[in-house]
Amino acid sequence: MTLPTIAGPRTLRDDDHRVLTDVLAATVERFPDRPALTADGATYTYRRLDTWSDAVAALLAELGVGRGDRVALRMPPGAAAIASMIGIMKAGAAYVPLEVRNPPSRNQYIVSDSAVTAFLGDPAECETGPVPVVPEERITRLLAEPPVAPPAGPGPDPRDTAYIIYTSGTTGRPKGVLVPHGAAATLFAAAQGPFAFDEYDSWLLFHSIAFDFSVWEIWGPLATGARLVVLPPGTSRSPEACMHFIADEGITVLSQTPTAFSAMTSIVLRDQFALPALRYVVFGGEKLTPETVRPWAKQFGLSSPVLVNMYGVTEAAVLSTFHAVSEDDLDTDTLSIGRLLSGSARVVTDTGREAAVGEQGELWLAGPQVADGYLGRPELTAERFPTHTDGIRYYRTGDLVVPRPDGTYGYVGRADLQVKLRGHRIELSDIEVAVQAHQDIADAVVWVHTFKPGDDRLVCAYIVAEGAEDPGTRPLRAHVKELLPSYMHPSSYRALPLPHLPRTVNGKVDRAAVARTWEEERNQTR
Amino acid sequence: MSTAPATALAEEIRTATLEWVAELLEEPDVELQDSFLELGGHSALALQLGEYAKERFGDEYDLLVLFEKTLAEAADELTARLTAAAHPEAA
Repeated sequence: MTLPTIAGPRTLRDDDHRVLTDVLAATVERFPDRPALTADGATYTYRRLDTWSDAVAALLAELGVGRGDRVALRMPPGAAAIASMIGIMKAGAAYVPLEVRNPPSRNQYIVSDSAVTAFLGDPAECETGPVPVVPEERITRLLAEPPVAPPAGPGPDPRDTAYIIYTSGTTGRPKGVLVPHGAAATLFAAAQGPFAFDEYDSWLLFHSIAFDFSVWEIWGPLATGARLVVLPPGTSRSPEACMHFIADEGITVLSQTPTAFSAMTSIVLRDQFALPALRYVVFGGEKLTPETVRPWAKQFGLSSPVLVNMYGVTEAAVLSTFHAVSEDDLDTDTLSIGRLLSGSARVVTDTGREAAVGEQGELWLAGPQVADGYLGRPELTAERFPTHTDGIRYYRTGDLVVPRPDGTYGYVGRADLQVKLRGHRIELSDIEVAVQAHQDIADAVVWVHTFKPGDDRLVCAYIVAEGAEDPGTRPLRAHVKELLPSYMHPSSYRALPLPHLPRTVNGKVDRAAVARTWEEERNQTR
Repeated sequence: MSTAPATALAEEIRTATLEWVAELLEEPDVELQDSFLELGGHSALALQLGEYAKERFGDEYDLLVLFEKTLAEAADELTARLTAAAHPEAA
């Protein structure tokens, strides 16, 4: 096995923009007998996964599913879910993943909005209408049946949709992002530049299949002949159980949100865990701060595993930039998200011009990884995926970055989390981090509340840490005063009567729900 | 830290200041040693506070003192000005 390193980006070829099932076919041809998948205590070779998913595709074709169709997938993480996902693509259709733990109303919305032609897994309380439903057991039974030929006829085209993942904004209905095969396949071709992945790697599927970080976790190994290891359902809730699983399975590539990584780091340091197999930790999904990686770096260094900060959005095939965390990063305020994996980008200031080096602006992404838009939402698609005067189609990320002289980008935060208050530009997440640094606080949300017209003030809602007492306003004020300038001090602090912050299905804080609970609490005490 | 003024007017202005700040900021836990700025006070609220003071006591707070010192000092500065205005020969 090669040493984990991070090299520069790779020059892309036209044929990198291809179909995910062709990516898999190439791997099957090279490594037919290598392990492809470990799940529920069993391991499947590439040949086995290939024939199994052929059988799924044949079954779907019998049910009338064909090219351009959409198929809902609602199964707990496991071998059948992976075989189904591949089978749906082999049938020429796009998969629409549904989180098992979602409220039925949300899954119902997604099933109706995406107009699926078949449903794989357990619809639970979801009304599927007249479409055929194939239970997980039926998919599992296909394993024991004699191999069948995959459906005849042309397979999907690189421009066909591979999957539709629903994301929620802070307001409005969830929207389905149409990601074509070519966009996703480009991600894996581009990742061969910086990463030294090989067939001896073991990748962990940690995230829900309804969250697009899972696309990276699943197709990373399938594109390189490595082994995909599925974390048993429920394990992700216990950092301790996770670490044991990662150690026992010899996981080499681990993808994490900074929040989950922090929890794991504390367990690893407490129990003096050894993870000699681990080669890469890939961060995505949230802003990575130096505070998150410092305790880990102090114990394990930064060379093995390599910690890779990646920035990405569902609308541009999961991940768009990469940066290996270095010693220098640990002393900075903002971590670099590094350079682009593929395509090009603009950074646009709030007055609409190109940002100079060192100047902050919104990141616009272009290139082969950019998605087709939002299903059935032409106006929103036109707004978020504009074609600029340079003739290039971009995705406006809503994320603020600072271009650096070396062609890399520093990440600032979400544009909608940056406010201007009485002339000061304020990053709300910076205040949240400061409040959370108090030992009795588990989590905090800060926003600008308009008390009366002309009376806008920062307010903070927080969750008291488990087993701790509510410190109350005065100690929190004193604590924040130590860390931040006065224009960043919240005027009010209020504990929410909840064990943890409300979150959306993707694990992000549901800020609208926080504000509603805060308002209810405020009305009770007025 | 401040020398407690013995006069009834000083007491009254301090109490009123605390009440108004608590009401305007929706912050029940306000003390004389707090700073208006650190409690989240800003210029629009300061103007409102000044109007309250003018209506009841006949003059406004000194904004510089209000923003840079404690609530006690802002109240006492107003007391001192009102007292001086009432007894110009003592000034």
